Amino acid sequence: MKTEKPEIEHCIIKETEKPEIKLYMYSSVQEFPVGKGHSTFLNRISDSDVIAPIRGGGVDWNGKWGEWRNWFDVCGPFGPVLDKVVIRSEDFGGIIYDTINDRIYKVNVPGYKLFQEILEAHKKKELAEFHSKQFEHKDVELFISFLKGAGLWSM
Amino acid sequence: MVNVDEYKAPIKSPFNVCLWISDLCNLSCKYCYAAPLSGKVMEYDRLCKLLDELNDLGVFSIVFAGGEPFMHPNIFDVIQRAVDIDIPVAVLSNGICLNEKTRNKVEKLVSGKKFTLQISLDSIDSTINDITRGKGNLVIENIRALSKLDITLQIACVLTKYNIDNAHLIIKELYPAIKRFHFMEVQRTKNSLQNPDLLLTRSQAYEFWMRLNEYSKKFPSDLCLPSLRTTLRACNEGSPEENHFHQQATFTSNSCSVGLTNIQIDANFNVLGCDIAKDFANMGNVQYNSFNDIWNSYQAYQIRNLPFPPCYKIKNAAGESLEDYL
Repeated sequence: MKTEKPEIEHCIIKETEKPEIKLYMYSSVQEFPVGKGHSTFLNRISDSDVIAPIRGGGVDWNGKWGEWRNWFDVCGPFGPVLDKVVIRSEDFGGIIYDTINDRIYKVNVPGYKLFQEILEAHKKKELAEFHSKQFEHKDVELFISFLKGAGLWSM
Repeated sequence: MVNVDEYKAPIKSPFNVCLWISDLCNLSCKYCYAAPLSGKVMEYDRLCKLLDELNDLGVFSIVFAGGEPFMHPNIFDVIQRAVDIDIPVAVLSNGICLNEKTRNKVEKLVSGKKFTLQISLDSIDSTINDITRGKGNLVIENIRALSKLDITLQIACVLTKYNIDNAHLIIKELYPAIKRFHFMEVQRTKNSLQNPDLLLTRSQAYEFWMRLNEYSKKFPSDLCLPSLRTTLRACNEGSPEENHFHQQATFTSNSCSVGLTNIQIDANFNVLGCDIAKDFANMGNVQYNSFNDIWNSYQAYQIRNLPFPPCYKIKNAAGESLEDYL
């Protein structure tokens, strides 16, 4: 039996799964998951020559870090960050590498599609007027607000 | 029956692959991570195919190291091949071989390409540099000549008890001709642990990073200190907003990032999950196997799921290892 094709002209196809983006690594050379590290592994062990180079020497590291330079401000001028991001697809969606700020993000499949749309708009210099062809406005807004917070929305 | 999907890596390829293309060197640095060197070089035809494979898998960047990569007989062809596939490439060199002829040849190959040449130098004072490395005067001369060419340069400086007080002064001498400086503590390799006099205590390291951070404020914002940035993030520094953001990083692993994000391939095509613990992180061999097959193999799965970082197995001069204390 021949079925009639639905009329899809002028109809925007909306995805059911929402686009999501998360910070994956705070640096491409991040060695341990957040909250882990040599100090966590070594907390249970006593002082000895072999661990001396790793363990502390009476310095309050945590108290001191706050005095250090804020590296959000010290990575330019390189031009728009979106010019320098690298993306690749994965089974779970994709990976976005911000090469300027050295951070890596994970996106789900819709997030990957949306980010591709955003990159396309950026190339055409249409980011200020960006409207997704695939996703709901409120979901796009949420995604973009994350990008802005992460410094990934510079035009 | 073995379910091969069970061993499939959580990401389709590493982010960065470092190829130790030459196991030859014209220096013998006291802390060398690659020592002892076998004298082999990576076979050129397989290397070329491997570059294509890694590019197809979406690897973000390729690094050529060694030994000294400029001692590979096909180094210029290797660089040409890599920059032509348009993947960001870095070469880590000791700077000895970079005479005028070599410099000009490299500039011709990489001008306008995504290429960084890293030269190692432990101090602008060659007498200090030569305690750990050697031939400091020649290297400094080559660096100054390279800085006038159209090649992006980065200086790598390994921190030891000998240079810790003045290592940061390298920046003053070479900036703005060079804008990237990569400082790193001695990696706790089998070789460096035999020279405990080199190693810094945590307090010494802390004081250095503190001094470097203060010193960097004297320079414009185009000065790039990637290792300082990562160190600060690892220690949760900065504004509350930035700290909170970095605390959200979802990366997980059994112990450390071994076998996941940064991979080494030695001159024999062994795929190593870690550059420090190379004897304990072999994921397989890509001489006759594809990288993808090794990446998703049971052996690679085992390395990624070690109960503790493989470097904890490395023994010091007294025969102790961190594993003994776990």
